[in-house]
Amino acid sequence: MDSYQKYIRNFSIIAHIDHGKSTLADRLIETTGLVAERDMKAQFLDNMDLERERGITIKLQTTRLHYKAKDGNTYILNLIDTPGHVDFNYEVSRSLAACEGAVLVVDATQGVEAQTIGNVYLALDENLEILPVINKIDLPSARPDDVKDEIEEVIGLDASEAPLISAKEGINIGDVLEDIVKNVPAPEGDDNAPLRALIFDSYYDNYKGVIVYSRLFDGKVKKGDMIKLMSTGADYEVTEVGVFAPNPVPVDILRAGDVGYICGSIKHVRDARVGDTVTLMDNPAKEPLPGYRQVRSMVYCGIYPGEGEKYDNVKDALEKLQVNDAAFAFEPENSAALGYGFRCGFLGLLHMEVIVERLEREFELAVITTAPSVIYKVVKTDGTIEMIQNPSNLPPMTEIDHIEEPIVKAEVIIPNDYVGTVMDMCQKRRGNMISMEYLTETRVELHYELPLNEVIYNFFDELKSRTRGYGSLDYELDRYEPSKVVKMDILLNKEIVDAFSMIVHESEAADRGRQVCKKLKEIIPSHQFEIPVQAAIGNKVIARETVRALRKDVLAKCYGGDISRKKKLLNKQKEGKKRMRQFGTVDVPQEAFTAVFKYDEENDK
Amino acid sequence: MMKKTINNGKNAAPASEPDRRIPGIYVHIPFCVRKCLYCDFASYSGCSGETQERYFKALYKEAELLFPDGKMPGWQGRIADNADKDREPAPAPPADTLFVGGGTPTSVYPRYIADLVKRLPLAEEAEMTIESNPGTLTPEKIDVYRRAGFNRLSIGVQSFEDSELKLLGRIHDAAEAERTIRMAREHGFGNINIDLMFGFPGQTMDTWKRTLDKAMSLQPEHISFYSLQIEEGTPFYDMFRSGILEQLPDELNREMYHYAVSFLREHGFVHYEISNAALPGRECRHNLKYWTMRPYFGLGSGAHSFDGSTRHFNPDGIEEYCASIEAAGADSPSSVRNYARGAGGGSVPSDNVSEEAAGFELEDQDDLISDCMFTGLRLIKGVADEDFRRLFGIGLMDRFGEQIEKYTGQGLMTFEKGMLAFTERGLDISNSVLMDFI
Repeated sequence: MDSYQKYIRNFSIIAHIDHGKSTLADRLIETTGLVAERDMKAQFLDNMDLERERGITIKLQTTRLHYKAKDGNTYILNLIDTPGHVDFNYEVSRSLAACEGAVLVVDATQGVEAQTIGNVYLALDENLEILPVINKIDLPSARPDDVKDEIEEVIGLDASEAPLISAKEGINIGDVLEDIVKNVPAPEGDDNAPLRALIFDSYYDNYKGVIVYSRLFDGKVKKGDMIKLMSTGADYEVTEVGVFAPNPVPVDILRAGDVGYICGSIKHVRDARVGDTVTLMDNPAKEPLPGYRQVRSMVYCGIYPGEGEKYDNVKDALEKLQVNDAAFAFEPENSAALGYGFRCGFLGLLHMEVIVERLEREFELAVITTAPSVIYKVVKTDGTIEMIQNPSNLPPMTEIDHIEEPIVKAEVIIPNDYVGTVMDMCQKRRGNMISMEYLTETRVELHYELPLNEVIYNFFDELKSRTRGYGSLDYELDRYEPSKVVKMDILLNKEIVDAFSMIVHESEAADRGRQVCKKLKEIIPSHQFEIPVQAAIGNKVIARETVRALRKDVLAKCYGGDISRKKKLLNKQKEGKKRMRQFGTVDVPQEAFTAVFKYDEENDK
Repeated sequence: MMKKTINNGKNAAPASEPDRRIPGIYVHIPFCVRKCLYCDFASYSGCSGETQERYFKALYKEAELLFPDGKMPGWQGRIADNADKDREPAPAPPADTLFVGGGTPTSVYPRYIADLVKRLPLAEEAEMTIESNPGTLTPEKIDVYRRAGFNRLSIGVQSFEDSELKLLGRIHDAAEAERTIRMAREHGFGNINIDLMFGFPGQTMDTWKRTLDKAMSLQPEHISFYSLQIEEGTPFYDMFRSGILEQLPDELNREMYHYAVSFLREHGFVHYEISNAALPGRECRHNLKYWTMRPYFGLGSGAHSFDGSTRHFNPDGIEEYCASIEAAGADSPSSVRNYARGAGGGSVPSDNVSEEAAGFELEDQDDLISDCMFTGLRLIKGVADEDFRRLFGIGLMDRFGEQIEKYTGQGLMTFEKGMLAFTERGLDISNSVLMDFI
């Protein structure tokens, strides 16, 4: 082995949400002295505020640590962070592909969960050495021995040597570092072979252009080289190569085994696709690295400027977000109810929520989002096929032969006490059970086929609610399948509001219609007149509620000293009304658009 | 004191209308025996004698700064003196109304009040009201008020049901309220208002009817009937939020309201404002000024003034108010309402005014139009097109044609014989309509 490579370890940390992945990353960074303790924000690697708040990682971070091991040698540890959500499985798999090992963090109080297993499978697919670590041993409810057994039983990994740590309290962090040095294999690869570097992430920098995160498997790359991206065929001159410390630091050269970045005046992140292979123009590799696939949006929704917000501001913001998010797509569309806006595609519901929240918080925009939809395959009577992701674009029923909807394979892991309620829930969501396994005496894994549409409609929220937070979910797209879905319209004061239209399964239309009407009844304030709220399929009304007319809205007192204050109150009330969307004579608060597709425990009963 | 009001030739109001320039005076007495659970007025209980003495000293000083030698200052307020903008400010006529409110003005030494009245420029036949609560009046006190010139007494009764009075946090029972009213009558008050409240938790249609019957049997000239308003910062607000108390349904609240309106009408009262009714000719002239864009001076903590174009307000807190008055000299009137002297410039942006500070808002034509509509439409007879034209130079239809059409069409307003007014149904939801007039 190359002596250079001998002292490199490339690894990821994988875990189920909230098991402490980011906290452990922080602690490793701190312990190796990369960032002074006082400079540490909690969870250094999750550098978006939003991520820190939600405790999940969306955008990956990568950093190089220098660690002087007990054997006296100093090692370079390249920590490659992975996104922590099922929406981003493909990104996870590419990050893992850049490593030789993975530290598997398991919460000592929670044990093995769906994404623990999901991530282990992804890591095994990449032939990684997996090092289990039991975290949160400082908590009174920690049961490390049980969790070790679980890891051995459920996953089949030897956990007898697993370090028992508390990332939060900094307990036994050194054990993890030693474990990595000892057990993660050093990278291999030939310096002299043609360059093959795996792109596992990228982001746009205002000065350097796109910074491409790469793992070099073969060859070398340096400033001035002409590189080629093998899937797109595009070529660029390298303007800088470097490593992450954790901020980008230029180096002279990157060699096989290294993890670092390459810049080449690439203008869009979508030009440097995750999973693609970088090679040299004048000495190209014969074959790209395996595993590349183009990212596809699974969930769509409309994003419209809120009241008083400019279309162009929203467009600018979406463009800026897209620069750094190859998985996010959008195009203009318009709605009779909401005017000009955008149809946006996401990897999943979380991805969608994150984008919307960023629009609101980072860009301070008021936006309205419409109900999320999957892509339906509409087979028309003339034999042509249309892929429809906006309910409003559904062709007339007379032109449709049949509609197909996407089906996913889902794994749900739950404590055995909740099997009944979760099966009931999956049943209601048109799930088809494939199998059920006892992972341990008390933990069950259910395998289901579910329509994706059912999964994006608050499946996760309901699962959490039904299992008191213990249920976990993992899924992947499997196929399209014919389905009896129909378009359901919502009418306010007898007029269709297209932004509320949704595609639902025939068998659920009545229930969904009732839920949406009920929700709108709660959200739409009383007007000076009565407002019928109806759900309809075609001309047939399937549910109805009434927003009752305003009964009392009057100031009892208004004397000399009250005038200024009361006028302000009235102005505030007026402003509130202005912020609503007007449909004919009906004012609808903007939150109504999001609220109608939120899971509501009450509605479930 | 001046006896007659000044009339100025071409722009004089019609003979039937009182001169629009005649101001009213409001004096705020922020002291109470105990604060009621629903009250959000600037009032304080348990203040020491020293605080009260200091407060009245400040009040007297404010009166002297405002009314040098007990006379009205000259002023340039837009409505007060709409005739000729180039003319030198003429002294305003003396006030024809005084309203001493609170708090509970009758909870302090009556001499404090009497000494204050001496310092105010009041017309001889001014309507002079003092607010009171049962349990704070004695025959001796009443005599002092009467001698000081007070001719109208407003008594906060709220309810004639003991259990309801307890719930509201009142200090008196029903019997005491009744005794107080009779005593006031015997000792010479010929114009008495009773404040009542409805729509609070635990009240029923029956108890409300009994309260109204009882009130009527005491033969007041005026009755105010207020729907309970839950104001932030009051104990009631917290009790409603935490669910200890529950709001009456809006339907019942309106049923109580409309019952009161027809009950009072049957007894010969004129329902003249959303929450006020009086025997003919006994409408509260002072309060009418608030709803008809007339000028008024407000003295005391938290008191507001209006000169026709500027709204001025004193600091809410007793300490802040006293300090600001104590610091003011005759030639540094900034902490008193300087606009009264014609120095209405340098407006403070209204949004930045803290509650502690004094300040003023200079209103432009649009603000004034808003005020005119949202105060004027509180009157049952509504806003007169003619008055609107005189104030703003355009007609109601010119300005609000679309709104008037919409709301008369919906049966929420009427526009007949030059009067724009709410219908009964319109009154119930007047805020939702007024939003379109501000």
